[in-house]
Amino acid sequence: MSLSITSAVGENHILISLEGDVDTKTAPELLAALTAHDLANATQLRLDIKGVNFMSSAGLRVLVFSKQKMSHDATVYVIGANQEITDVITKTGLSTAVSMVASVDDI
Amino acid sequence: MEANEVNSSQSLSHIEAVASMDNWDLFMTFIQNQCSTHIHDSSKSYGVVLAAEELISNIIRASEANSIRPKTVTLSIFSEFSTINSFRYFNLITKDNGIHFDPNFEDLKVNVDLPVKDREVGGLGLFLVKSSVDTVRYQWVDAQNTYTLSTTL
Repeated sequence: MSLSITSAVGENHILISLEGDVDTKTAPELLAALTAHDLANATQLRLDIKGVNFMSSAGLRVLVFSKQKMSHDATVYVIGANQEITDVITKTGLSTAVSMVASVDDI
Repeated sequence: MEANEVNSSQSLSHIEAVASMDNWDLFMTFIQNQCSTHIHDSSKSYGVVLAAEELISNIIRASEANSIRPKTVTLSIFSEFSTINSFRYFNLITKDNGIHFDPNFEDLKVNVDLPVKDREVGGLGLFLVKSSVDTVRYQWVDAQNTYTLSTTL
């Protein structure tokens, strides 16, 4: 029920790394971290969630918000999602909007 | 004997507190502990926690949105085992005395094929409640919203 967020800007991407749970309590912190960046002009967002154990719909809404703020041809990578989070992203149809990869090497 | 008759049930534990974000960790710790202790399939355990998180979030949001009497809603959460037609279930039951709200799970429809750019945020949480457990039931009992989340063991 806590979330650690680190943020970095690369040459062509924004990297957000998370550890903990993304739930109703912590999702606003993720939203704040994302909106601190210029999403409208970003071409690639990398969300590293290898350290995330749990993500509720509050976290999914932040994903949707980010995707909607970015340009049509920008890409959102979700890196290292565990099986349960992958299943949730898939059954809510969001896997068509983001690219799910196991590690940053797959980008 | 009628179909779906509860043959037996066994209370496990319960918690009760004001439905407020101040008590978020209290509620979620209880739910996570109950699920990890009593559901040995990690995928099913995750599903119940996910569904319960969505319900608790909605109950607290409704409670805190009441500007006349904020933070006066009490939320109780119970865990139990039940046996129905020889199938064994783990049930998580929430009861709150907030405003009567029937989410009408039976008729809930969310278009998960809608492109993200056309999506609105509403409905996703209730969709996850319904799809993350074997059954979810809403009842209005003794002036309380009562949700029962059930998963087979």
